[in-house]
Amino acid sequence: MSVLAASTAHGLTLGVFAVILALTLLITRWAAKRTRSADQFWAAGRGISGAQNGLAIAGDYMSAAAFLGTVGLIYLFGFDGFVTGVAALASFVTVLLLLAERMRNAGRFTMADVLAFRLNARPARTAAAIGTLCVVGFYLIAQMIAAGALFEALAGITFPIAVVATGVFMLAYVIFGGMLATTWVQIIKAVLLMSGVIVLTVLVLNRVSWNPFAVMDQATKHTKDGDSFLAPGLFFKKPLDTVSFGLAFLLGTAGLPHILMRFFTVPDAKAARTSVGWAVGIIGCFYLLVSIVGFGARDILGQAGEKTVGDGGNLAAPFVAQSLGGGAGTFGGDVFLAIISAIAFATILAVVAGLVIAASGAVAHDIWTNVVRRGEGDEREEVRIGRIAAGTVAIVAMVLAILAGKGFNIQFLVSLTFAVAASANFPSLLLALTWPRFNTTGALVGVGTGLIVAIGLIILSPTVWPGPDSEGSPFPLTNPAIVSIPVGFIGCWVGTMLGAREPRERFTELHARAETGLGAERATA
Amino acid sequence: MPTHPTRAGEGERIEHEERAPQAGDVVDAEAFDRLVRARRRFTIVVGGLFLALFLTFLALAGWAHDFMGERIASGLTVGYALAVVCIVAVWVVAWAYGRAATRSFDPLSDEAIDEASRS
Repeated sequence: MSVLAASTAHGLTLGVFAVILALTLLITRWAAKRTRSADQFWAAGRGISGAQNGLAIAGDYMSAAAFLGTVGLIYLFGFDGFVTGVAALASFVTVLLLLAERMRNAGRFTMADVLAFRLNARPARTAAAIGTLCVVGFYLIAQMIAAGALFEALAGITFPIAVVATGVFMLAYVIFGGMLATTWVQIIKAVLLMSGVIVLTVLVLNRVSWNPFAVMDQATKHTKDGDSFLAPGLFFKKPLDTVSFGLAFLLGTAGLPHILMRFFTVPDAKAARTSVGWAVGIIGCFYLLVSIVGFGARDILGQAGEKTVGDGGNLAAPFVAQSLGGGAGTFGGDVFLAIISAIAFATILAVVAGLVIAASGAVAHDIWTNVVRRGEGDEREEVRIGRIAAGTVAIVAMVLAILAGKGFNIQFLVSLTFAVAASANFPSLLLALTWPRFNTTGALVGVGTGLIVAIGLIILSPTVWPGPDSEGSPFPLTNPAIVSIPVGFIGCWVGTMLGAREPRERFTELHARAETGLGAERATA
Repeated sequence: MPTHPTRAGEGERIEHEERAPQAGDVVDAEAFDRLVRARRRFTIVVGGLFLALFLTFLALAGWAHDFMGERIASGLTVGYALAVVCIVAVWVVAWAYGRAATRSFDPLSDEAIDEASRS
């Protein structure tokens, strides 16, 4: 019998989770009264402070993959799991140095705003909206599948019902409370997640007289891999896989629409960079702590635990909590398991809410208002369409997640998310902000080639290619970024050279605004 | 200077809509040129250093398994130490950027808008 089959543990998990949900719904009610205009719906009236936004970025960014996935990867593969965490954090250097302040100054609600500002608005906006929807869609489905599988394992609710429940709550936040509710759900989640990880770390360290390196030493004694558990190479089989994965992260975060959108919620560029400071402080501490919990998991669960932690070791963190709380069947163990599981659900909810609001911006603000209606519609219509779009996107994601099923390869969707973000979205965004000669054709060709090459190479990669162990897949690497990012940039360049020169004035306008904040959107909240 | 718009951060209301300088004048301002150069220099130098560190880390993690697995102290490997160095480096970059922005980019940006509104 599985240690988790105990119904008391399930009941406790649901109980703790219900408390968190009640809190988030109260916030949504409060936020709903402050969400009328488009500025409020998509940008929380630009009244979020730098520190608040930093926490919210951390809450938006640290998905279930970051918490359960990284602990699981370190538990299963040792050091390589920590490499993924370092790469995830490193990406914020790109965001800070190249995009954060410029995005805040130049954008309004969506990533596409920046491209449409200087390029031929309708085609550029359409391309950026498609890039947004692809990235957000892949990530959303991955998170929904993860949520469903976790709910089923930890709370005893069947997969389809768990997916629908996740969808309903994420929609409630977005539809009623817009960006303001989403922001506060993300802040609460970041605080809960950090608290949970801190407590886990303290308990892990407490077992080994407060020496983190003793945890790692102990870990090598409980794995068949011995000392090589602390060395790279157990997860990333090919050297280029490590590099390609690292690059996908390094440039991918700078192309994630739901993260970039967070910069529109602060009053000015100064608050945008402050928020990155807070975010990297929190996320960096998070991964340092998670590394200790991950190696501690190996020490605590040992080789035998590998059979019970599920695909990718996702259940390692909850099991460690249970063990640290006193073990399966004990009151302390059940309570601690329930708290960590509930935090994991809250983590997913905060991320999917961020994704849905980004998708709703792309559909309503970009495609509906500015492409279909050519900017004719009024603000109330835009917000109404935004709510309908959020509902539609959520329902499509729920249906696809249920059809895909809990056995679906989520890793494939997550690597696709970052590869497409880095290869399709990031190049055109960066060039639109910095390269005077860049033009509409460049953006279209760049987004198109980045998208097609990233998706194509993933289909040809060992992750997806059918067959035993996918031996002989046409593309050897699991992550295409090392090829698809340069191709995305080359696409932008070739398209630009083939396209007609565009008047310099639009770039001048964007350049002045992005660098100095002249004429940037101001706070209304 | 009655038509002179106040600079951000001086505590007075900014009224860009009515007396906003033109983008063209801002871009032509001498201070704008210095702003763009200063920011570009920072990005290339600091971003380049970080990129070099991070790519070295990735390359070592990819190719030099034995070296990364070597123990510096009991339980502490070269790999883990380098990973921590990368994390701290991100914090240092964020701190340094904030400092450069406050000391150099913000004043230059204000100066450029100032200059443009006088032209």
